[in-house]
Amino acid sequence: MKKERIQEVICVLCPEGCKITVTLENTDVVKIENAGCKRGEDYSIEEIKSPKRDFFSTVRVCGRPETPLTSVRSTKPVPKEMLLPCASELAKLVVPAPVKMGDVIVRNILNLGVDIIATREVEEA
Amino acid sequence: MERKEVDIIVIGGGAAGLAAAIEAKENGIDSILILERNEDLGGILPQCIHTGFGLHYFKENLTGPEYITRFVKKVKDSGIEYKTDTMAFDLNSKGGVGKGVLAANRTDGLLKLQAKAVILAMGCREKSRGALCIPGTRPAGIFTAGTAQRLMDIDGYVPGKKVLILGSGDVGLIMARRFAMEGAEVKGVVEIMPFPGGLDRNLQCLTDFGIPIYLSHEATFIHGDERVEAVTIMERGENESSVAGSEKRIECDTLILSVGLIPENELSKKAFIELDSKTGGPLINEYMEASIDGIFACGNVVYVHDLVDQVTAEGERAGYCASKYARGELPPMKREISLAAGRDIEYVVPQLISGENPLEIHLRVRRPATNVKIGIGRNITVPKRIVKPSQVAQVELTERMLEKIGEENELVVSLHHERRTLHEKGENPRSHLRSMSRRM
Repeated sequence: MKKERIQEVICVLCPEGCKITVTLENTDVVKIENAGCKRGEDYSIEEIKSPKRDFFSTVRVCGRPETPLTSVRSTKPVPKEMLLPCASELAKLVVPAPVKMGDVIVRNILNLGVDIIATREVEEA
Repeated sequence: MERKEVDIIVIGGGAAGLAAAIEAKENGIDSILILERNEDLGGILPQCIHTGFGLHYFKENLTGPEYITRFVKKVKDSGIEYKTDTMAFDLNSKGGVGKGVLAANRTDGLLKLQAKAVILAMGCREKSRGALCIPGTRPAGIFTAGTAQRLMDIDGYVPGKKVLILGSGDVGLIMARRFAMEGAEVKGVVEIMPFPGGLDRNLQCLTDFGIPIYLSHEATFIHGDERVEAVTIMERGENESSVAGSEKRIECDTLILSVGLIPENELSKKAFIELDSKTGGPLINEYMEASIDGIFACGNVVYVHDLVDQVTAEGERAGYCASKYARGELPPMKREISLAAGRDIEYVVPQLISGENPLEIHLRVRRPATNVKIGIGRNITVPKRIVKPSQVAQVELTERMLEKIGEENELVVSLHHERRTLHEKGENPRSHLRSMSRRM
């Protein structure tokens, strides 16, 4: 049985911010409207089928009271529904100072094929 | 008291100041001094741990700390002198030649500084509750978005569990996501205008976590004895009055204010630099020079930018022009043509051009609109497919356009609508009719 569904996606690829309307039949995309460009069309499909996001957060650092945290990010976007599980994973961690920018804090987090790396330098304790 | 003479003093070691100092150094000025009030260089960016920085300047998607560290490293590697923990508290240009800056810190005490050129890069600061006059009690739990960001991302505290955010500017939207990611319950974002204040891409911060946005709403009462307990919000109707009976009480323990930024110009005022009442920053010419010769300005002290990439570019321009000035090579402007904000334009930067050099001007519109023409003076029009208050519009003034200026001494910049977007929820229908009738 055909089941039609309409979803709106705000494109974030450029400042135009097109409000793209995507029509789905079951899980197939049948119509894309109001996309300003081809990249926007591709984005709207990905956004509906498997939305991904940059992940960023903080991780506790021990041994240097002046800098209690380092900031971190994922090396690649992660599936949207994995943002909170990744954050919970990092909440368990404490890393010792010093931390260099780009240091891998968690390799292959939750088997997503993505590393979590430091984005802030923390000097030696 | 220590006395010191340098070629260029840069006040503020954030994105604008660092870019300006690096550019001046690369243009052959060796004697530069950066004054920074904070303990470290970098300004606000070390606490902006999200991505989205550098897409234009580096063509890379970086976090705030990664973006600014590149500049901090460059300043340190190139041996540019800087003083952190140092407050500049007076600026004067008496006597014509040379500018004086008074500053102080713990190690040097009072510093009496002289420079050929000064670059203002003090940035901006957040509006607080006092600027809004929200009635209610005065409990703990009210923070500006930037303060909350610092607490969470530098100091390691989550300042609330049930959070309401006032204002949908970029920082407000980003903090909504940040609180949600740290497990707080984000009750919503309240926006007084009928459209969101932040960049479109940041609206994802709300949709991803199912956070509601209340457009055309304002906070009308803050409840709570020792700590915030709830905030009452009301819909804002026509004539900017609250709609009777639209009260909603939202239970929360924290209220985050993201209600606008103000360029920080106390020093500029002390030096009697002319300010633009709309930008809140110095009036500048196409050299990024303020109303006093040899004082340049860049970044958020001039107007509040949307993207740090633009701040960096502007800092470089100020640094380049200041280095030419310090060497006595900056040619005076042969003509002074002012750019004035006209219909539906909030402000235009720079405010003064010579009409001789092609350049990019930046303007902020008052309302979102599509398929518009931007009129500049009597003879120049530039089509734009889409303009929004949340994004500064850039207009390239080419040599050909400049030729059309003729004898005009003031160019009024205005927005000519062809079709206005009405799909933005709550667009005031009367203002639309008014602009239609004006056109007819």
